[in-house]
Amino acid sequence: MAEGEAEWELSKENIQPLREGRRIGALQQALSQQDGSSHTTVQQQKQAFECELRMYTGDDPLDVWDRYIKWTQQVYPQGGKESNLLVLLERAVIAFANEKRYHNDSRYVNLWLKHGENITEPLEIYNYMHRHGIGVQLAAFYIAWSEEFEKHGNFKKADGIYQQGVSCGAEPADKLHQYHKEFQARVSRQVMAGMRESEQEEESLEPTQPQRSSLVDLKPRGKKTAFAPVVRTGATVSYQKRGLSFQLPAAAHSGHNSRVMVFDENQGAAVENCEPKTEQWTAPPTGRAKENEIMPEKWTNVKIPQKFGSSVVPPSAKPTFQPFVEECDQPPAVTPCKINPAVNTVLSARKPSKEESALELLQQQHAEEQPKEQSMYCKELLFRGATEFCFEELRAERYYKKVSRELEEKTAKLKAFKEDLKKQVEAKQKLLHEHSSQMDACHEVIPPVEGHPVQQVVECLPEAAAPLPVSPFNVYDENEGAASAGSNLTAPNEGLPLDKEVDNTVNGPATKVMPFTIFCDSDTSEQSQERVSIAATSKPPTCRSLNTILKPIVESVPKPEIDTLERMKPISEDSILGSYRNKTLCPSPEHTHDFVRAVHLASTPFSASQGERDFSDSDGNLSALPPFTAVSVQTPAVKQEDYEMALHGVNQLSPIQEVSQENGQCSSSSSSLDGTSCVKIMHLTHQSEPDTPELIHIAAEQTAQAFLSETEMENPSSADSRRRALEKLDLDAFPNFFRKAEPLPTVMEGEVLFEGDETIVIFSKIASGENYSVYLGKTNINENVVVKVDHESVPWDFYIHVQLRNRLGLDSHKYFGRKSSCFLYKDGCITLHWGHHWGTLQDFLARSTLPQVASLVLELLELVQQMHSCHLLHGDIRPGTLHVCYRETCGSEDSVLKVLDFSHSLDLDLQPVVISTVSLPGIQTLLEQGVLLSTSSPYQVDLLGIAETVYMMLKRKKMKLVKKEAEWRLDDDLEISGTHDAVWQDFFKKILNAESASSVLTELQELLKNNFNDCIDDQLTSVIWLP
Amino acid sequence: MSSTLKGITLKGSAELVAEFFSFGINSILYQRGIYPPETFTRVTQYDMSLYLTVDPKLKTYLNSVVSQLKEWLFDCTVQKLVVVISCLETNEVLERWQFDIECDKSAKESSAPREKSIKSIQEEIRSVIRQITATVTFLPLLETACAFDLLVYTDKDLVVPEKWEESGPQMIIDSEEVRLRSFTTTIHKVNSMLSMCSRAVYVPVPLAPCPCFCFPPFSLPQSVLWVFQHSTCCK
Repeated sequence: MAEGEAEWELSKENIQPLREGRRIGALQQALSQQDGSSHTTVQQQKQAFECELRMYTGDDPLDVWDRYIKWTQQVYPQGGKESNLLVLLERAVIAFANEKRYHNDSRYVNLWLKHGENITEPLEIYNYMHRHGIGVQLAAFYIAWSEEFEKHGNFKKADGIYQQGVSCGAEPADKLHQYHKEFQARVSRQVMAGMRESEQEEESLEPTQPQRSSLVDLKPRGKKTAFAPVVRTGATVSYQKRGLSFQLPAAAHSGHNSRVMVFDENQGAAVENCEPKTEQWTAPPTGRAKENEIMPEKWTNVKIPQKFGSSVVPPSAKPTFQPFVEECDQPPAVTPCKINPAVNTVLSARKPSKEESALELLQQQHAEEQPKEQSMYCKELLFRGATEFCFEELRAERYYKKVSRELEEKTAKLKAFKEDLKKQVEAKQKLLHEHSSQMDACHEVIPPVEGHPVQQVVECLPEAAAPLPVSPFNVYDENEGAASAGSNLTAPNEGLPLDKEVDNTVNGPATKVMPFTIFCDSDTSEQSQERVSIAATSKPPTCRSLNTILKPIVESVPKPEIDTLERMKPISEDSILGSYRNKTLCPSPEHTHDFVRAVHLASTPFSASQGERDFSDSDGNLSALPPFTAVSVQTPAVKQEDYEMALHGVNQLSPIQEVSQENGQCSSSSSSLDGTSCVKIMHLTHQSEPDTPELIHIAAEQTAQAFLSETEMENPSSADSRRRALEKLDLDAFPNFFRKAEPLPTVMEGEVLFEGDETIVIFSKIASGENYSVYLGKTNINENVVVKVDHESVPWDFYIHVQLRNRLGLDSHKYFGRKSSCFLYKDGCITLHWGHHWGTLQDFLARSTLPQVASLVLELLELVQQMHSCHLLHGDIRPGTLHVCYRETCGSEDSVLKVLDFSHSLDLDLQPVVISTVSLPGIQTLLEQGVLLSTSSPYQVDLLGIAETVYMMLKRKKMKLVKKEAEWRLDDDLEISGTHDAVWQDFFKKILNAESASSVLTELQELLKNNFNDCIDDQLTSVIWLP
Repeated sequence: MSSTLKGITLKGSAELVAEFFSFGINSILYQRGIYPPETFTRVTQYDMSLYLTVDPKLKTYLNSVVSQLKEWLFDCTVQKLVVVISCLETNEVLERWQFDIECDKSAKESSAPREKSIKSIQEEIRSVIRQITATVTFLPLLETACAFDLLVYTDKDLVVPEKWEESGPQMIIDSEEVRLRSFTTTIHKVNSMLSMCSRAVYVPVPLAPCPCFCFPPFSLPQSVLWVFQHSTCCK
């Protein structure tokens, strides 16, 4: 304390006294920082105030100014230029000059009075205030005004001001009265003292010694040598005598002055004449009367023209006139200060533009009011405070504000969401209770979580079987059939339901992707043989994907139509395998077949991709053109290495191109890259299966009915029904939704797309469907974005995404991306998803070796569960619709898997559907196979999608199902991961025979967590598997 | 001064301290403008100019207090002297000048003079009075008419003399305190402290902490600029 104590005392001369006093703490701090180098806290606070001045949005902007100025006074005890106090006061005063509501606000008036204290001619300020009615209701104003007059010795006017204040009813009246009384007491005392002194003066008028008067001009006397005058007058002597105890204001002296006083008859009247004059003041007087400043000049040889005695006279009683400011005539921006250039030979004149006087500022304001000049930037914000801001500072300020507000919102949201969840949990528990009681009653399995939709399903049961939309009926093309080496024998299949066959085979690219085939295997080979014979002799290629079946067919069935290569095929599978392992093109020259194949491989540029393609068509849909048949036949047996080797060729091609190429080539098949089922197998299986004839029957019936009911009961995933569903909603109310009247712009790889204020460079196409395509892109600010271009003008994806966000809250970020926006055009829409996406899972599977699948599967399960929990159905889960994110950038709370493609999604809240009406891809097949019953919950579609995807991840081929002992299971035993085979088998068993989607999802998650416990955590956090 | 230059006795000490109070109180009254400045006259004391009141009533009042104080100082029974400045109308206490007096009661028994020169004591007193004068730099202007009171804290068993009455401490609620210098005669030690009403004084708002945020790795070039700016503004 002792040291700090000394601080204020040591620099007491540098502390400007304040009317309201100073806080000693602030004082100590300010003074101790004087010598210290760090002004940081002060600067920070100052910056904060400056920011507040600009960012203030409340309804009392004066408050900020008031606090800022008070703070400035406290922090800069010695005032000075650094504090910017004068500038601040001036700006503040001008800023609210036109705000009537502040005119009698004591804070505002105090600012004016402070401003008045700081300038040289405060009387002008008071006059101005009075004219504009600023502070006329406040006693403080009159007191200050009067005191100013008193200082100048104009007691009459000072008294007049008090009287005027009283008559105006200024508040608080007591204070005014008290000051008035005090003033009168002072005056009378001074007058008394003056009288007494003047009496004394007269007595001691005779100076004992000649004295020189101080501060008068030394007029040289004499012509040759100059002498200072020795003549003293009484007045100067008496004046000097008063010395320090000088109390009398100058007015008293004027009487003693030797100059002759001329009586001005107007003067008497003028005293009372401080009533407002008609003349309008347009500008407040400037603080620094620049016109009257003495310019720096050469001192030598300069005589100041002074008249005798004039310099001693203190500022005389203020003149009654006021400076005239012209209203209409705009004076030049520079004050009309005439600087005599002859005088300023040595020092240059101060540049007037640097300092803006209040007058200029107001003139600027006037100029701004005129419409001819309008600044195109937020000028007033930049210059509002004492310091000038740059745009970036303002923007930064806004940004930080926004961020902090967002944070607050987030926390608030989280809280709300928590409460919501609690409520939901309670509600669900109630529901659970009800359902359990219901279940007891009617023995129906109703999953508690999805109570609502399931109930609908149950309700719709009677007519569930009826409306079955069918894919367009395709006419069989003879040429195609011939070209496809007999694989596509619809015509010979007499006895089979024709429509079904066509439905499943010939749709080409138009056919939707089938999730998987179900191979209802009859274990015995004779059954398969039987089947073949029933179907057609040319059927064999269809079964080649499975080696076990392939062999018997190839060997046992004579194939008259098959090409020569096929016919001379004595080689065993093993030898082929071996040859591929060695990666030699012609490993066993003795085998002619091998040799010929090698020639093909070497000479046909597309052979590799062909092989790859066929491999991915793991169902063995070998419908390729004859020259390729041999290759195709063997590729299913080819192992990983070859597969990859083949892929290297493909890598140069974009996945999209492959698809299109393939579609063009395999016109007869319904295959696409992402795995298609060959329903022909299915078909045959049904035929051979003894216990499924009624299924076929049903299917036939369904298709027949579907034709009828198509018009009545429409497909909920069709564009029209979606559009109708969305019409009920106000899409424009969603954030980031933009409607545009123009047609859909063309989106091409490598092109730049302008969407609203986003500029997006399209990189690559990662997926496509019948009506849409998905691209990877980057915005102009280097954010990764997934662009989905839909040719239907239904913002369905966006809608689902918004619903996910609304219904899931923050949880939705994990799997469904954080930000999306949608641009709806006349004939399409573009949906943007932000995030660090790499591509589809399918591409990913195709390019990289897979790590342990378990972590991904877990994410997939949770993802689907989340969607289901808010009554949304994905409807099309397959590797092609799942997106993979960069692990290292998405943070621990984000998943690797994301869903961005909701083309086949259904909002079960918006469109109550039953499974049989859903025309999801492949659902018909599933229905036919009996994996899905028409009574089952729509959610099961997603379960089967998961199963398919997981199988793809594990085995990289299509899943085939068989029904054994009333249970669906995989037709091969999984042999992949060794130790975990049993777990996976369990997994598939559960997911294929699920009764309730939600419980199975939880069950499966637990199953995986329990069995992969040791590695999941590691994988989730550390696996960085970028190809 | 009656004291010798070599040392100081109890009596001398009491006189010195009482004299200090006389000048100190006068200084406060003058500096704080409790009485009009015309009623003060300038004298030279402790090698500096000080103002003493010429108002006869005030003079006698102060003299009686100081002489009473001198007795108590000699008895070593006084603990504190407080000058309370309060608003005349509302009786609100605005300032409170408090002088704590520590008496060395052992000086009563042994009359041996203590080793401290009067010069050094006066030096200390001068610095205290200077500080009193200097307080005007930060004290708020007393805009209303004010009155002053003198409170003396004494030992409990003391008989209240004539014209004195018992009083409350007249503390200031919500006050701000400034410790002033102290001086000692080795027998009496006077610590001075000033507390004032801090109502009118503006309290600066604490600065809100600057939020710091990091940006995602794929960030816009502008945001890099932001970070830079932010760090400069944070510094």
